[in-house]
Amino acid sequence: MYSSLLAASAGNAALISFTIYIVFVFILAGLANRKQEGRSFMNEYFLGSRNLGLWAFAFTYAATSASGGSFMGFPSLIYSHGWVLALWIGGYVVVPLVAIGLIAKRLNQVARKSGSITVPEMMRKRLGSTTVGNVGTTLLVFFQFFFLLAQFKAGAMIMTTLLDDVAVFQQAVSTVDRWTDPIPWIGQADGDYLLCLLVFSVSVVAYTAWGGFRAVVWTDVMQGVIMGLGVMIMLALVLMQLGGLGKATQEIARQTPPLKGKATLQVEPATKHEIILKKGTWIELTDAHSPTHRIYLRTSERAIIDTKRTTALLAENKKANESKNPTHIPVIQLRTPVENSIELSSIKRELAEQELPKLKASLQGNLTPYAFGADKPGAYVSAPGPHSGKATGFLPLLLAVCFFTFWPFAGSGQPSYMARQMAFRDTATLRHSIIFVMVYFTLIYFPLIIIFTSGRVLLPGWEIASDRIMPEMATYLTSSAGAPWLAGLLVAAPFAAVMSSVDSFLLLVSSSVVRDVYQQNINPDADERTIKKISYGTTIVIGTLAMLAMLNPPDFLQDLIVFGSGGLGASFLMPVVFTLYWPKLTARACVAGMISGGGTMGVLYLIGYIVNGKFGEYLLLGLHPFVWSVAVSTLAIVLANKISKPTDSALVEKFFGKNA
Amino acid sequence: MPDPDQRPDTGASYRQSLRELRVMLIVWGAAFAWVIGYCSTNAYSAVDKEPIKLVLGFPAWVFYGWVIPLMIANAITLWFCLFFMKDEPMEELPEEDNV
Repeated sequence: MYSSLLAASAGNAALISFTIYIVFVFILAGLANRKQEGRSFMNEYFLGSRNLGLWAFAFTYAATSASGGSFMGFPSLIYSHGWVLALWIGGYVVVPLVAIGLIAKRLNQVARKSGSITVPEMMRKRLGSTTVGNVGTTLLVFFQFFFLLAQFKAGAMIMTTLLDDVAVFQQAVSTVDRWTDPIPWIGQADGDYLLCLLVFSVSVVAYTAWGGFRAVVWTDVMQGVIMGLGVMIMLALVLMQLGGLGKATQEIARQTPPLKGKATLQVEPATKHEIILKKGTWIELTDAHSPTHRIYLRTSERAIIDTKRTTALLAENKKANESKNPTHIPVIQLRTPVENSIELSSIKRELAEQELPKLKASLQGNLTPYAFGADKPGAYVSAPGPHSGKATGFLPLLLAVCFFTFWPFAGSGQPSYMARQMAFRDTATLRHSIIFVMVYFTLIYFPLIIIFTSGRVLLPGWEIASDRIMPEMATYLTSSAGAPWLAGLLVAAPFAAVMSSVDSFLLLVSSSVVRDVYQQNINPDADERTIKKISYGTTIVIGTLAMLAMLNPPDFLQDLIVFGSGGLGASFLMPVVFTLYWPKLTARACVAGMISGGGTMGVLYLIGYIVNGKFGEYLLLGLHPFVWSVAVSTLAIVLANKISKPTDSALVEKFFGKNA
Repeated sequence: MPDPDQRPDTGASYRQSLRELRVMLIVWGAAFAWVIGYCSTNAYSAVDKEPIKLVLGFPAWVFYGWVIPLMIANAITLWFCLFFMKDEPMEELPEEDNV
């Protein structure tokens, strides 16, 4: 009873926080819209009149960078693989300096000098070639749209998690389910996902289209504050509840990965009411070989025991139909001895909260151990980290090397960050912003690792759905501290993170379509009134297309994100660096660099699809496609430069000469 | 074929940006050598060491291979931004949007 009240209370807190948050977002968009009056529309709508000060520039950079992955995917990885995630993000020790500092000053100068609004436009004007602009625009729209799609799905999924316990929401979901079930293709998606996707898409597209770049930046500031506060509060609560980091780390060092398998679950005698076994139901068994020893199983799918049966069946029709035997329920079995541990008190608490009759379980066949880390104490506090499917573990050394390169340099190569680097007011703002982002990232990523490795001790058994660990931890920590209302603020953090990325990507794609396609190729003489209409319209159309594409989303969300961001980095990093720093660069070499970088990424994903039978990267010689793409792009630029005509000397003088 | 004599008389602002770029790449290289170098030997062998060695509650390899370099990189970033990176005059915006 108490647990149900806590869940409802946390759910309502999430709904109230979410509503307040959305209202604030629209107030900021309205204020930003009023700022557009009396200014050059293109400069204001897409770059905020290049007048971003310290707080705006620093927060918008940090908030855009910390996408949904930072608050949902990253915690899930930390929980699943342990302290090795510190090495996985090892490159973050220099990200603020390298990812911002590498090109920001030069990019801002060259963009101002050429009056450019977008990255492809800057490259086109610097090299005096429309081909450069057109190729850049095509690659940007292609890869950025993939990235955008993935963020729409992430936004809807996070919202689903946040509102899961809200009664009004569940009623609305039932209505949506009734309406959409008969519709082919769309009806296959869950009602809660569809409802959240609609609300998320309409709100983010509306405020972005209405307020433009300035609204995006102001909401980023608000979202950045929410993220920072959320992480700090969670860190304090975790350390208080565990009695310090040392104690938590020692507990984690004892842990070994669970076993995975299937079991039949029975209740005897049959009950008068249907019993719903939620995903994550705990089952306590007595060990046949040692009566004092207990075995703990946890279900990883929802199951139902109806009034006519005593055996549980898989609840989801689709999954039950796909399964050879719907009475075989997927489970995990904890392997770490939990006697006298903090984990045991967590399991006991959750067992008591389940309010279920005594369940019997029979394991079906052998349970499968992890491919790496099985029965190895210390696996969660060392490298390469446990992995259920890969015998080499989560992070082999060569992959660690790739990621150390990927984070700082792929960050530099993202056009969404470049758009921000074109918008700061002066170099003093840039210098102070790098310091700010350094402090902010240290205060975000460092504590996230502590919080979610400790999560393994406070909430054991979440291997069943590790992507839910962030909201689960938020609810658990605040409820235990006697402040369930705080859960609303904490769970708003990942939502804010996704929104701040989506709005930026949306505006980036529409700015490229309006500036580089419409204004450059279709109607160069369009007046401001027409441009305004086209800009609003394009933002709405792109947002709507992304929403429609995600109505029945594919499963490979994380792969889409890596493909999109990796493709952008591969296409733009080296061409932009050379454009800004190498006077001798030619247009042909720049085009060769973009096409070969993006193309290498595409080819290695295509090989991955052929070899693995599903969408994903191919690690040629153990190296990530991004590393290969950057190497190929660099080589292509250097070689193509040798066989092409030099750039107009007037352009070189303009951007590199004495008076540059 | 490219013109071998194409060597513009580059401006001071561009040359300063190049100097800053070089320092950033050196810092990245040093951080790479420390983090990957240290962790390649200590993080991958930590699983065989029982009981686990802790420093301030962190696994020892995390403290020496990540926390310490993070703090040093932050100190260098601070120095770079406050004392090495130069302010440059930023050009005023063109009055009209020039496609």
